[in-house]
Amino acid sequence: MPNKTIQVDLLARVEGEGAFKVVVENGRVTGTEFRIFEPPRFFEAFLRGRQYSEAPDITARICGICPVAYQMSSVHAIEAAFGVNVDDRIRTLRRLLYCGEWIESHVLHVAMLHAPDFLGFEGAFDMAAAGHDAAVKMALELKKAGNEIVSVLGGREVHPINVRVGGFYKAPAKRDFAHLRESLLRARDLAERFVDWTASFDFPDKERDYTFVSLRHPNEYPMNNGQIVSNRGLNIAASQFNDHFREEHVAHSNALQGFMTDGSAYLCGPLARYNLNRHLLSERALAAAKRAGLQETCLNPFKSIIVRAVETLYAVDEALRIIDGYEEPDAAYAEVVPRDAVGMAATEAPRGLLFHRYRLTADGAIAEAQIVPPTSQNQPTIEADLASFIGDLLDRPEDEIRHLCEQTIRNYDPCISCATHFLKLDIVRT
Amino acid sequence: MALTRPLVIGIGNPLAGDDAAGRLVARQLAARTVEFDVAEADGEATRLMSLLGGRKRVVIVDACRSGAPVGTVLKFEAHERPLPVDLSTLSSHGVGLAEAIEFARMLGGLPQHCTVYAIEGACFDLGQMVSQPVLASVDSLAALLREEFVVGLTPDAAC
Repeated sequence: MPNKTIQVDLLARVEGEGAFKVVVENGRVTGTEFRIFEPPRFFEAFLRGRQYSEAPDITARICGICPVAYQMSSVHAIEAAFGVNVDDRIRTLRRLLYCGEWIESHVLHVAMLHAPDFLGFEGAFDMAAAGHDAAVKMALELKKAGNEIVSVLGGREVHPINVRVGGFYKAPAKRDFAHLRESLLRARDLAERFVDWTASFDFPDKERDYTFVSLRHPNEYPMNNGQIVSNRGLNIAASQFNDHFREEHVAHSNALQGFMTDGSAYLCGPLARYNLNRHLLSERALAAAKRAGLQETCLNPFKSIIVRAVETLYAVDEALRIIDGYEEPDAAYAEVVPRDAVGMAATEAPRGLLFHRYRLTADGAIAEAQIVPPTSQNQPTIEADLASFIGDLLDRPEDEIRHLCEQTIRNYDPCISCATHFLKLDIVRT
Repeated sequence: MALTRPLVIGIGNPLAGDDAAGRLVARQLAARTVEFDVAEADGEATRLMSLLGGRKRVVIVDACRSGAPVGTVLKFEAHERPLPVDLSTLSSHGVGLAEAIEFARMLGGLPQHCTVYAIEGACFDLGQMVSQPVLASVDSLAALLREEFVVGLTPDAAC
């Protein structure tokens, strides 16, 4: 196998701008670099000196796809700092809002960004034009249910504005959910079909022995609360995050990369949540997972597309459960009294663990902010996947290698930035 | 929002310099209008498609980079033809405005009248201010649309 260079200048269907390079020497992959430009660094500086009350709305701007995740991690971290106890009914409403975002984000990624890889199309438009329009319509209809949750609870579909530290500016009345409930009942059927659709794809036969990291709650599939756990025995509170994980600057990327403190890579996101919390899925979601052929543990990252569909069904189911049991809280938010303190929290963004840490002052100002998004944490694992998965393909046509690389990256639904949308691929063979 | 009413959608990121243009137009219109609906969006294609669905008259305002002088306002009748391929709207999230319009056209969800106004921007960096030429165009486009919808709107055009 000669040394050579393969380069791709444009890769759509990822969130933001980035590049990656694969180095092949003497027919062997000797290096992979996944390079991204990470907006949260800007936001951390932008937050300094701002009032704590601004954090949910400012951090929501980090990503158009998962504003709820940023809001949730920020309010939980600030509430931890100020010792705010939030009513269980408010906590449940937050979970409902998160269900909306999971539906929106997962359906977008599965149908519009990732499915074309499995069906052999350049993009969702070509895929729909070639006879998969019914699947795209199904997905769009399903996604509307998520939009509606965010709209009813968040005040609007894009960058919800109803979230505040302590709860919500305004809590919905039970009657506000009447139309949404009907939409969710229709969406549940669509979500079942959505799982079956993803299960019908062909999957590369690739597995790795990952360290999976996610939240775990005693009796809920994780979203807002829980310990940070792994399949290697980790079990810590979010406040211990920096004792067990570290961010490292690598020369080839503007973004910090996330590692365990021992230097090992780990995987967060749907696959980790599923493997660590499968028993907490709803009956319907679990049945769909079984029907789709997902085992108790799934080590094939390409099957994350099925897991996303299963989690979509779960989120619809869970949203219905919450709405049916909803009782209006006595107050829409708990009172917040600032103090000098540090607070930390992690929640489960659609793409994985999202950690926030704030140092706050008694006048309510943010002195320091640390935001560790899931894509940062998954970067080293993406690079390791690339090295592992293309090793036996190096004698295949370059288009085939390139395709598998792109598909591998999209397994992680990387959310890179919000301004541009291309990723350069550089395979250097020397 | 009643689907029979015209809808103006302002697209962009309000924290990213001139990318805020579309949303500023939407906010100016939303502050004092009852004749038509106004929405803000970040440009993600499926959300745009949801907004377009069922409407007969939609106006979309976005920032763009086409090489024209900063502040130039370009107008496209998207129901007649796709947006030019060399027009780069800054609202994309993997799939953006142009894709949303073509998807809607293919799936039968494109409004009978779908006009896109694109305001040429200069700087789209996070944390930057909106440039003066773009602010001036935001004001004039908002005024134009208000006049079009409030004064020039005929019952036929409204629905």
